Amino acid sequence: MIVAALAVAILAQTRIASDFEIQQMEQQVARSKDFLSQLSGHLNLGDLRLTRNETAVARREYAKALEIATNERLAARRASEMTRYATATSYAALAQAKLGDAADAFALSEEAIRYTSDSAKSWNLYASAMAALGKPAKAVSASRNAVAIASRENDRLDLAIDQYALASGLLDLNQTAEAETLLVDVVASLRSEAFAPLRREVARTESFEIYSTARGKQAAYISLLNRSQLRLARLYEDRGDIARAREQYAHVLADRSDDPTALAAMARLSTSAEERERFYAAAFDANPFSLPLIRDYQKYLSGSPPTSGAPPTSAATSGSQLRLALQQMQRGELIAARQTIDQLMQKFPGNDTLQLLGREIDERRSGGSDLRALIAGFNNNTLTAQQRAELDQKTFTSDVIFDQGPPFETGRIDTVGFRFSQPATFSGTFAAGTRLRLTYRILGATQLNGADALLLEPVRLENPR
Amino acid sequence: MTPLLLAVVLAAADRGVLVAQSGSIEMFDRTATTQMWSGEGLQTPARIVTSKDQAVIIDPLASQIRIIDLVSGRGTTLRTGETPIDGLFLNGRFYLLERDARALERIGTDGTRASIPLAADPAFLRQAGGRIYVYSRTPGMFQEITTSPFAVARGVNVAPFASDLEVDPKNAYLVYPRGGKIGVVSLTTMKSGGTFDVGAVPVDLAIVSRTLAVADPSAKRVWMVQGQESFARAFARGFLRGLLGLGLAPRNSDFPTGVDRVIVPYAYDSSSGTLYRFSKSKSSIVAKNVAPEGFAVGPAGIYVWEDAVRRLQRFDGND
Repeated sequence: MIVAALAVAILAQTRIASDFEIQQMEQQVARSKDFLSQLSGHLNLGDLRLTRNETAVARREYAKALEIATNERLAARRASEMTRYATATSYAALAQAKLGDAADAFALSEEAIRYTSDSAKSWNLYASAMAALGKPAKAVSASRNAVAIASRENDRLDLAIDQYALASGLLDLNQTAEAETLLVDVVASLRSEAFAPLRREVARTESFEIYSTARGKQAAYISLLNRSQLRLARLYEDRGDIARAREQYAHVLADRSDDPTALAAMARLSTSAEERERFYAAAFDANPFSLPLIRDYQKYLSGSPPTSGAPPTSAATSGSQLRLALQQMQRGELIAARQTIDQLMQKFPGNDTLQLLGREIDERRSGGSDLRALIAGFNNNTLTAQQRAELDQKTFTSDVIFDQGPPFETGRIDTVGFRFSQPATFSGTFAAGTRLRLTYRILGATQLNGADALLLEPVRLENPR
Repeated sequence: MTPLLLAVVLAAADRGVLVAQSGSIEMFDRTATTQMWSGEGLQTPARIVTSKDQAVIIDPLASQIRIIDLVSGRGTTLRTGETPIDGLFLNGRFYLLERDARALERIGTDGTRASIPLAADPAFLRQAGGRIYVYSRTPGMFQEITTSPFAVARGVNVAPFASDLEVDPKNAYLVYPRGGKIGVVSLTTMKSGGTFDVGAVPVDLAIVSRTLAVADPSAKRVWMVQGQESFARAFARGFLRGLLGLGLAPRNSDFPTGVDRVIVPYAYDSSSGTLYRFSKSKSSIVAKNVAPEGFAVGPAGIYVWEDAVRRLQRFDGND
């Protein structure tokens, strides 16, 4: 299938899945100056950036969309074109909702609907704004109005869009039975003969892009089919019907092989370690910055042997780099993990996911014990001269386990690694891998196998009493 | 374009003027100069409904109301059905229209609550002759509700998608922006009395004596229709087409911008936040940058919250 082949080609280039849509929307914004092109371009760019957790960029796009909609409202009102005014007002409401301004979004939605309560599209936009605000009951009510109106009209695609919005709201309200019926109907309708001409047109134009504000029947069809199947699959997954969930996710991947949501789900639902690794790798390549995917992967790593999560050495793509960082975090190689994240941050400077992971690494490096706080003090150069002088005078005694020896050079105090400045031998009989009692001075911070560690000067070694 | 001005909701009550803002409510005397009390409000107030002794702040976004004692300012906040949009006091009880819950709720003075289901999208709530009337916009259902028993008594299918409803003792009037029409329902028979054309895009309606004032933002005009005359002719001819049309009836009032709300003799443009006073064909600006609920008409004039100076202003008829 041409659509799938195109998607595979994108995957082979190891681009993030949304790269293409972002490029398309940027071109649309640059070339087309009409209201809907500009507006949908910026709304889609905001949504696409948001899937990558680039919230600052996303907010700039939404703010631009709001500005465009506001100007359109003004122009329409001056021209006494009330339907145009209402449409612009609906989009202004949606942009405000995406910016998180609930009061303005609600007021604008209400203002728009005064003029166009007979429009399924207006109610759909109302529902979208309420959904964006986390008001699913309001979204469901608006969607019911949209469905009621669209049902009287003869446009099956518009009806399916409204049914999908209704199902989404119902799922948010945990009303799964009606939602499932709607989603099954939507998917069946979209896959029916009624849409065969549109499917042929999609195939002919090799279209595959997925947008939240789709323009034109082709884009709407592709996006709606993708979203409906994903929603239905998640519904099946949540109730434990894994076979049907996998079937729906597979349908999504058949149309678009780099769909990040479906790939992440297939990784979750994999039946073998090899399959799981493969899907995780593909999911991270499709969207390295999805927090749900990252948390899934961390959970998977924490329940797996330390060697799992291959390949740690490959960092050819942003996705594999991020997986590498997570694996390093899991193994406690926090310095290396921070370096990996820092490299990614140079490529994606405004990314919230990377900043969050960076903070989490820093917190782990500085927290957890007095010794780690001390290491952080050395690393950050925050110890005062007086504190350093006190440390020089002071000896400490801890239970330790040496990695190998004698002679002894490296080991752990609880979970904190340490290293001597040179290998040391002690009078007496001592073995690596057993608990021993070490008296020492702290010289500074160092690294051990990529993790933060203490640099110690040994004073005395004893067997524990 | 002025951004939507949402922060303030005003209501004129017998005891004074209420000003609700996010999280607070104040009461001023009728001169708008002295604050009588202030108290806790709701986060996103959109409307205030008053009786002689009480006021109810309605927050449709948060689905909450706050019932307030007008003497002390003390109140109680209640969770409601989804999206309460309007309310009214009748026979000592409060009736609340919950649009997205599709219900009318009755709240007694003792706090007892009862609810009846309504048709989809109940958008307007009015009262006349001791009865309550609700228009459900999407299906076009006009329902009459009795208070004792608290039940839907009668209903009639009318045209859907009206943008406003007003009632007088005999009739209900529905405004249809898309068709440029006013629909009439007889409250006596609960039957449709037909429609007649008004303007280009009529949106809002007010009734003063027997005159209908219809705000038409597209025409930048308030159309004045003689109600009784209209109905006599409407019934005689089955319906009135082109009673006013786009012609220049002498009492119509023109505005420099499109007004979409009317409370005679005032009209308001939501898009610019401009409040006008009009008389016959003339109009003058009362205030700018006024929120849609940021003004209230009372016996001593019109009260306006001036956001720029954060003050309540009163304008009498001569201002």
